[in-house]
Amino acid sequence: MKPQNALYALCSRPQAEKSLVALVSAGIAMDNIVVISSEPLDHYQVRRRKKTLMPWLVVCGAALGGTAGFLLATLTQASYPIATGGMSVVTFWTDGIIIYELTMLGAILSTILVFLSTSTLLEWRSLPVEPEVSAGKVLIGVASVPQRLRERVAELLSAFGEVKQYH
Amino acid sequence: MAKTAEEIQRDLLRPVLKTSWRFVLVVAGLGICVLAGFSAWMYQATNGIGVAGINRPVFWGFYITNFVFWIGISHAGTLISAILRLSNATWRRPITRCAEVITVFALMIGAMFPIVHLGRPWLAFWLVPYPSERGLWPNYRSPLLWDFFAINTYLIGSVSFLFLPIIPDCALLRDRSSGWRRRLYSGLCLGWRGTQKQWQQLETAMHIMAIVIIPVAVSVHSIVSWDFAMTPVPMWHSTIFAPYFVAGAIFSGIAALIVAMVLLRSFLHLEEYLTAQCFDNLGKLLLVMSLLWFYFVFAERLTTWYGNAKPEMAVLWLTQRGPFRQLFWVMLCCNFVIPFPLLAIKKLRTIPGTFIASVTIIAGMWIERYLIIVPSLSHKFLPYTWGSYRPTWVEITITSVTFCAMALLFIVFSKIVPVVSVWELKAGLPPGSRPAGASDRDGQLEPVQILGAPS
Amino acid sequence: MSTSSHHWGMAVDLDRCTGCGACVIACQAENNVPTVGEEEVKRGRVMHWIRIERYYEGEFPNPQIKFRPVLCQQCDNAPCEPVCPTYASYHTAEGLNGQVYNRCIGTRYCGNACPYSVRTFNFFNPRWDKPLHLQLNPDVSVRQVGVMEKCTFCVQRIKAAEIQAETEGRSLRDGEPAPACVASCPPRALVFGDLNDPNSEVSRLARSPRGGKLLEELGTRPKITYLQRGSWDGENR
Repeated sequence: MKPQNALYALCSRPQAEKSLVALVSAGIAMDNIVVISSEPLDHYQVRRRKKTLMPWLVVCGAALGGTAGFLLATLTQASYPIATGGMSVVTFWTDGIIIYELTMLGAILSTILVFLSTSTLLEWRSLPVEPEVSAGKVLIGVASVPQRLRERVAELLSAFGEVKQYH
Repeated sequence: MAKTAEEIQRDLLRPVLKTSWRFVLVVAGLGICVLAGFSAWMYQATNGIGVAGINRPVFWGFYITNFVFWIGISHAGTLISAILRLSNATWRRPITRCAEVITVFALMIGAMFPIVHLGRPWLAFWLVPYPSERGLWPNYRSPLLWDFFAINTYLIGSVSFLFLPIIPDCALLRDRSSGWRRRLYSGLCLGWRGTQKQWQQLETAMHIMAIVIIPVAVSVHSIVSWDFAMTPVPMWHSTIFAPYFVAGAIFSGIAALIVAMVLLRSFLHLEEYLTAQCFDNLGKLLLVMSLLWFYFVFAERLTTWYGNAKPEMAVLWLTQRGPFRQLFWVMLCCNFVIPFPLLAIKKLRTIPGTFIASVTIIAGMWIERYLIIVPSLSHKFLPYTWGSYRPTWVEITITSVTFCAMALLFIVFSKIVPVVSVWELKAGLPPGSRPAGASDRDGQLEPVQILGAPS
Repeated sequence: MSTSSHHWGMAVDLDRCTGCGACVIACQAENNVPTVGEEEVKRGRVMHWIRIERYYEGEFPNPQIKFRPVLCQQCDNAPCEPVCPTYASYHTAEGLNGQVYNRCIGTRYCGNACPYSVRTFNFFNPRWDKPLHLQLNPDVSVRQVGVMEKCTFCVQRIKAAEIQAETEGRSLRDGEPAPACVASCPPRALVFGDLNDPNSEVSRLARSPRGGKLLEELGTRPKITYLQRGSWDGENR
């Protein structure tokens, strides 16, 4: 999701909250505002907890893993039945361990997959890289500036520093 | 902590960005040791497993001891990282990455040993469930298969658990380096920028991983213990084995973590980050685990002695009065008698104190694994078949080299990635240590109502 | 339990056994059991599939020696079978504990699990110096380094007898498949037969009041009955 007409500036951490408020009251949607920092900011508004589907998707992944474990263990034991030590051909106690491990593996892999796919990682061009961020500054910007608000946004951002454009 | 964010960054990135000749020397030395160990293994693989000291009835010796030992060490990361994350203990911040790294590398080394001890190691892949041309699948009733699944799940989980919080630090290094390093870290950080959405996703993912990895870790060492408990060997066929081994694993894991942290602290000059308070807290945890370990050993031996069954008593007396008694008392000293005062008395629970306790505990826990495996196997049910075990140079070489391999992996890792998590330390800074003054933590700025704002 | 008509078992009469060791040699010859050499025997790697255990009681001038041939008990509840990750150790339809050498990757888990310690392991590649290689039995394979092996009740002889009987259109006679140890025992202390046939000699001996099983309390359900006049914990009546 590459931004078009993105404008951003670098401000200091306490200024991040104020700039966010200013941008929102200027009419920019919250989803359109990008705040980049080198540690998670815990401001009330800057870090609005959006509902994330990740836990539910992980549960689905775990269920998938568990099903895979069940099918693997029981179907393969039944397909080539070999008697061992007085036990039955399909042994549910021991299959339970396999099912458990694959459930956990499913949870782990789905966590990684969901994280990689929903956090815009691997989309190298979608956001700018500013070395100043690692020095403690916060990058605050608007991903897609509506044409009519372009000057207002530029004016607001220029209060903090140089306004940069990103394509 | 009187450090500012800038100072933290500078101190923790220094070992990554600057290399001294001492580093090259150490890596070369350890590398030679690892190569020697690898040659010993190749010698064994080509000449037959008989070059090791195992025999009938002691079919398992040093290699399985090492397997259980290293898998046990790998429980360091889980306890510290996952449990302390979930309980919001802030003193975990400087040590989580070190713990997670120990887990990953100890797991890799431990998982190698089931292959080393095989009679036909080139066929180790038959443990993988795949549709073979023989129509044959692996036997899920075997605890070795449970090992395969559990260790692989734990390995994948630990690597992910380690790698996820490394991503922001790789982004940091990308911004602070140039040339081939910059390209490396750009790739490693997977395009991380640091948007609030990414931070939130990262923290959710870490939270989920922490919840998931704890039961996996418990299951891993339970399953390793069931390699022994699922056989009718005297003093193996005990229901206490699963919790006993898990407690022992966490015990040795914390000890390994303390040793690694003390060494890192002195070599990388991280005195201000790995503070005496950290070691004090870890020392208390270690004390609890030492007591728990002693409780399990006592409970098991009491039950065995009280039952007075002939085969079990034969094995019990081996460690109390027989040829293994010296090792038994050394183990007890190393795991309980020496660490207990060092960790219980506050004045002694210093960095040197916890270090000495941890080193003795690591030695003691290795001996404990040995004493679980070899005496029981040497004295099974029919006295005519009783035997003994003596390791050969192959086993001793490979065992010692694993410690060098662990050190080597750790040192190389600390060169690629900062061994203390930079962003987590900066995020945990108290107010007033930031360059621009007021911090954004602790809700010092009041939430602002935005009227009429489109959401 | 067996799903076919046969359920092979054995009886060992300790009151007849003289400890001569003919069974050990016969087994070695029949099954290509390697000799490992003096050094390896000292290290505890002897490969005999059947062994004569000797226990001494009393002092000079009246020591008592007890002999006990111990071989794979072919347990119905074998602890060595579920622990093998590759199904090298498994239970056949005729009640035998089968060992498939090709599947074995050498974890030696079964060797630990066997309470009788009857399983042996090829720690090195076996060698037969010339001309001893001419002695090898072509009906039985030669095992590689890293492979576990043990008594199979001479399954090649059982199969040969079954095939012979089927060709001739008859059923097996009692005592017809005879493992090498059974065939070579001078005082006939070893008896082999079908436990599913209530009239076979081995079934009769299994019901004998002199009979007991080795390590029966472990619940392995071994199929070898040991007969002796005295009781099992050594008090001779």
